[in-house]
Amino acid sequence: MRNAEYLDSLNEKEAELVPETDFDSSTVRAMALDKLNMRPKNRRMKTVVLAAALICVFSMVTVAAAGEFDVQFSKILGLSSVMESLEGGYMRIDRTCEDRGTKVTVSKSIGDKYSQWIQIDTDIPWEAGKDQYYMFSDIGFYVYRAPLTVRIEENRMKGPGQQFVRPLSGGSHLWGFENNGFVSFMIYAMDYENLSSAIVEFKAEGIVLYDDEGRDIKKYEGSFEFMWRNCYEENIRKGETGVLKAEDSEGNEVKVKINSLEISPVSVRISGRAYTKADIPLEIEYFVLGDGKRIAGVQTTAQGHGSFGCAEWFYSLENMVKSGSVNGNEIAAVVIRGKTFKVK
Amino acid sequence: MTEKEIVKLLKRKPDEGIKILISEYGRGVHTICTSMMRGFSREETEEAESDVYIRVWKSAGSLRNCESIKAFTYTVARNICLDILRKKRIETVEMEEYMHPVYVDDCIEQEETSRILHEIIDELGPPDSRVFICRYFMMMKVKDIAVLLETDEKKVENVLARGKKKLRKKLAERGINSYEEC
Repeated sequence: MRNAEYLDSLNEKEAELVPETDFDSSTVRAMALDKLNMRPKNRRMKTVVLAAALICVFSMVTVAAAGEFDVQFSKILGLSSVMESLEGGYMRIDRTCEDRGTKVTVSKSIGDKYSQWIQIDTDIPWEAGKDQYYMFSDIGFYVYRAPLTVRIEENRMKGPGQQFVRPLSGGSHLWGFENNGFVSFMIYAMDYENLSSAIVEFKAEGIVLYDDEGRDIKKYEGSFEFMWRNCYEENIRKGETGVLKAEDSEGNEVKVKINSLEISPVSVRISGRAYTKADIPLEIEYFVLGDGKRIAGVQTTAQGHGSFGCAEWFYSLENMVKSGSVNGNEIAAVVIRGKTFKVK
Repeated sequence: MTEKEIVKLLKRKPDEGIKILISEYGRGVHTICTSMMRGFSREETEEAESDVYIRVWKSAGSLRNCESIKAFTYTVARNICLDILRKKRIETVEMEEYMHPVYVDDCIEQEETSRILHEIIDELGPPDSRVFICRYFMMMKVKDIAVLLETDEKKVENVLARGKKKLRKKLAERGINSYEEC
């Protein structure tokens, strides 16, 4: 290393000469802040992390046992038929941020491994008339994957490739609604990574009341930033894996190797490999229920491509659940392009 | 925000201080880490970048006499990358390859050589001095420097050759002449 010590420091003038490259700093920032929050020494951190994990588990058990599993929340979401199955996925967040006279609270959420509904309350009185809506002027929603379990098992503060950040994936959405005379919002977030143990960052700028022609009627200024760690049950069952032939969006026949199939009460997520750059609209033909009944399937809600042919498909069952046609827990098999994948 | 204010913020509100550090110097740190950690995954590079800010925060107490927090942060970035490269045991191949054109014998005092290099960088002035920073601080290969600075390899080689000539001369003036040409 002798030679590498050649220019081992820079002075002020030289520092100005270091070329600067634009990049998305959100991951690095989240990692740094996460490390900062984990700053007690390793041995102590292990205890702290374990304690934190226990507190999370404890609060989930408490919520379930107390049965205060928000009837109102269930009504707002229209998911009453699966709420019982999703109970372990319920979580109180209760983080409040106040700016320029407006208070915004991320209050609670419910979800499974790959999707999450998050309720955001405000102290803004509901004043929307016909064809008028509330929305944030600008939002940022990021998911950082940093499972506590990996940290504990490896007895160290970090591990390679544990953290990911990405904005809301396609299929996610946000809407405003009246909640006891005040404005509230609901975010439906879906991601290909495990959301149940992820760190979530939500930023919002201003709240606006607008009409159906897009004209602003009233605006509430403010900047609101939240960060919290999810800690709830994944609520998934695994299905069989296998290989099937499909067609990509350019009409080429491709072989898709399905490496994992996971079903929750409200979603299906498939990951596998397919060597094509084009999208593969992998439709679920039908679901087979435990009693043998067949239910028409769903189109892909979102599809993602990774490197080395990795591909992921996500199917939201939200509408089917709302209409009462299916509950993910009742699905015994999934049929895709004539091939049956049994759910364990 | 002044450098003193950043240091103060790092001590009082570390999370805010780190956010400012990233917004002010993140692009430079990113260049250093990605340039020095070629062949590493994006996650590993991001891990190193985040370590930089934690180390700067840990040093905040002793930064009062620091000449420049920007220079300090970049130096920390370089040292963290070097540590990683050392741990990965690839430095024996990579570093020698990087530094081969100016190989200095064991007997040469590092401090003196480093001081002369600072002088040369000052004399060269930008944009040539930037090539020297890339080469001797960030240990980049000629072709990578050319890509980063959007110039051609020949120009980079010429700048380095001119600098090395000066370095040779200055080392000789100080009675140091035991180094090899590439």
